[in-house]
Amino acid sequence: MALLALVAAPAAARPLDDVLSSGTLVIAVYRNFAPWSFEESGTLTGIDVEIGRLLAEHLHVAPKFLARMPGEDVDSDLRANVWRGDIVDRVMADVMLHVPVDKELGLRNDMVVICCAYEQERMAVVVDPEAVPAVSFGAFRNRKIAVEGGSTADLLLSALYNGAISDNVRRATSFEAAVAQFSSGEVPALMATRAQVEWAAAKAGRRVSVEEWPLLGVVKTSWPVGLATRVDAHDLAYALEDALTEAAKDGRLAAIHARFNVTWQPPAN
Amino acid sequence: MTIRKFALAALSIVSLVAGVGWVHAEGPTIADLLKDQDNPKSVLTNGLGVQGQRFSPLDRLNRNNIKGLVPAWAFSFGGEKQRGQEAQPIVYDGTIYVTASYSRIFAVESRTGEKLWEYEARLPEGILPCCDVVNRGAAILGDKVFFGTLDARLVALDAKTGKVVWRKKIDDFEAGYSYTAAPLIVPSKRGPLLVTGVSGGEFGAVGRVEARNPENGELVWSRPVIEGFVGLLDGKPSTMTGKAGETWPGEMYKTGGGATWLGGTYDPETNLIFFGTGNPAPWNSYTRPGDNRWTASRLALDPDTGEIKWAFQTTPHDGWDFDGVNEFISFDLKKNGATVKAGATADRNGFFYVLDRTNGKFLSATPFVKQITWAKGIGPDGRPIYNEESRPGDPSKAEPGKPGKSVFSVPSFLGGKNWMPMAYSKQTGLFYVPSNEWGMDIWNEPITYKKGAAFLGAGFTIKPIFEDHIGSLKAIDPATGEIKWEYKNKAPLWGGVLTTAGGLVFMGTPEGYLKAFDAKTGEELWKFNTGSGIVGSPITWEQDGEQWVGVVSGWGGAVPLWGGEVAKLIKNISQGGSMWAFKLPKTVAAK
Repeated sequence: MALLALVAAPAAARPLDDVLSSGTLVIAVYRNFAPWSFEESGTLTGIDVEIGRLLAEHLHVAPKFLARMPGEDVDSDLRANVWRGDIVDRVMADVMLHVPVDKELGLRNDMVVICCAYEQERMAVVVDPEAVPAVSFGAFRNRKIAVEGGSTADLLLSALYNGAISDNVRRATSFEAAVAQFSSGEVPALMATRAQVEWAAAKAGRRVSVEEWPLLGVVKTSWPVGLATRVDAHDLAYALEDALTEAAKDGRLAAIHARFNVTWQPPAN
Repeated sequence: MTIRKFALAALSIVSLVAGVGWVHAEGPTIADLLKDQDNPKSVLTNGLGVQGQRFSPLDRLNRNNIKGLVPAWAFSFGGEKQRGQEAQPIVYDGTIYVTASYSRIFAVESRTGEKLWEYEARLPEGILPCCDVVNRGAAILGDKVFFGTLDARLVALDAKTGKVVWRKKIDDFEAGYSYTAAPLIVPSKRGPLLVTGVSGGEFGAVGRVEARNPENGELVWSRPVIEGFVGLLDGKPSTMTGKAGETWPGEMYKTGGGATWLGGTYDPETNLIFFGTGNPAPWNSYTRPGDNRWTASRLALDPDTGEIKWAFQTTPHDGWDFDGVNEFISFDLKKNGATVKAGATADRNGFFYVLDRTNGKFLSATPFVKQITWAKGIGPDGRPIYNEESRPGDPSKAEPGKPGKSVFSVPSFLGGKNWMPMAYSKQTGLFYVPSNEWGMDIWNEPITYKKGAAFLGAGFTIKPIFEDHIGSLKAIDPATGEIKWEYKNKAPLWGGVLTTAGGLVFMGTPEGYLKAFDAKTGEELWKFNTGSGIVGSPITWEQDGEQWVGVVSGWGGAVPLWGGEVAKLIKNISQGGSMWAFKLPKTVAAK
């Protein structure tokens, strides 16, 4: 049955042999997702894009990227990018990057293999040290903080202290817009994932301070991310895992991160 | 509106209709569009008339001869794109203009079903339309037909050739915007205007209604539906919608939602455009105490300026995803010997509302589905009497990592009635409402991720209320709210309704049948299986002295996107994509 489906749909995610013989690894990354995958002067770039190149290089094939819009949740992204294809043309990738490695998520999505954590994401803030001298989120009882609306940071801050600082949360329509509010000095703080915050800090053009203050949240404040392939492409996942293990050991992963002013955070355990 | 002002408004419409200098010689004029409900030889507007009554004066076909209604032709949309045909076709001068899913439109010869031309929008790779791949129909004026595409663009095509005349971006598809509704054409002091809303949008999207010049697609006015936003008129800021933050905490209004995704209707008598608005954002209602205007509301707009003349909110402080987008249909309410200029709407929230359409005053609201849990009723002021226990739990109060308390809420978020339009019969004085009897278990889903990051989602399971049916077509007396008859359908209904002066009601079912009912009694008189589920809206027209009926067939829409117990009811439905035309042959009609 699975074989029939593969024959009928040439765009389907493929096992290792097919990828090798085609000479191309199709990699799904998120669109407009700095510093992981984003466009700069019309070119797709970012940490995940570099990692994608590294994976393709390991297999001696050419990388081809699909920069995809995020759906309502990662479950729908896995469906559109890895096992069923997008709703219009049914095009999908061999591997999707930046997938949270979580047992529950894996059990819920039995059409994919989620594996190979290459990063530990965690929440952080970047502040103007003069404007925000405090050492806790209590500082935002009377100061503004920018977030991408609807993001993890938004969820955490909106619920913090029973909603006491919710009115001071500036919810931007995108991460870039939140960064712009912080960079211009309009808002003295920005909350996002550590990698996003470090990337924004480097762009601020002034002395800023990156902090990880204690936070009891309604959702996790730290989680590992890895990759996903189709469930019948275990062999591809193993090969990609080897590539990532090597790149972690020989410093290439850290070097890729450094190019985007981000410190590589190895996955916990 | 005072009587004098109303007389002036009416006069200005008459003069508009008379002064047709700006209308092309070819094709239907705005005057034709405004008379659409009275002229059975064509179907020029979504709703068989700008008021959206879906009532045809044709009476040739009736309960005595309907057994003679036979298929005349079927037209396949072709290709591999077979899901979700929600359109209502347009008929003009021997041509049918019908849209199909994945942003396609076809011109078809109305007597034979032969294709004249086809236009398929080139959609961007990896596009993720928020609200399925459907399209609900086209608009026509002069020598052009208009429709919207999944990448949030409006396209004007030459009605004769299908060649693009202009193409305009409504908004950015990368920000999650889309367009699926049938555009509305209304008269104004400066000539006809093409009126649309917006579909979808990621975080920060705010609903708006916009009017464009149909000649070139240039924006004339734009009206944001959320308090605190300033409209546009002729490229300049106009007025603010309400007051900033009046019914929202802090700056939450700035990202308040209220997508206007279903399009609108127009009433020539009051010269008002009626548009509904979607649910507020974010989804978690505990973060936005207040009424959150004007989400989940009906708005009446001035076609000349886009100013809000009145607004009525069906679900203040929505916490159940009860969009307020459902169509508002103008009609004359006869009650206690008086005639009131009224309008009616069957809301997602399960209540059937009647308002004074001149000023938005609340007249009545009655439940049209059973066992509603979220509200005990609608008070004399038109506000719901909430049942707070039925409000989904506060996610921030949930124990980290644990699913929150599960609440069973009726109707489900797909609504007592969803997008599918109801019909109003001038003959029986009844509304025919395609409804669904279902509820939902809803809880906070802690292990959720969005764009690679931890997120707090909501978990849903939609459940039928009754064992033998979800779908329920109801005949409702707007004067009393009384349900005069009910037709029960196993699968949920997702297609529109048509009624005729022949005493008939037409509606399609997911099981594939186009069915006809006796408008007075609800007796099923006729059915025909079109081969795939029907989620479109039927039409009727007269051609060569015969009455024709048309409908698109092709299962899809939101229902198959949700699993659970509902999935069992629809698992045997095949996909499709075609338009069917039926006629009552003269020989049969004469019998």
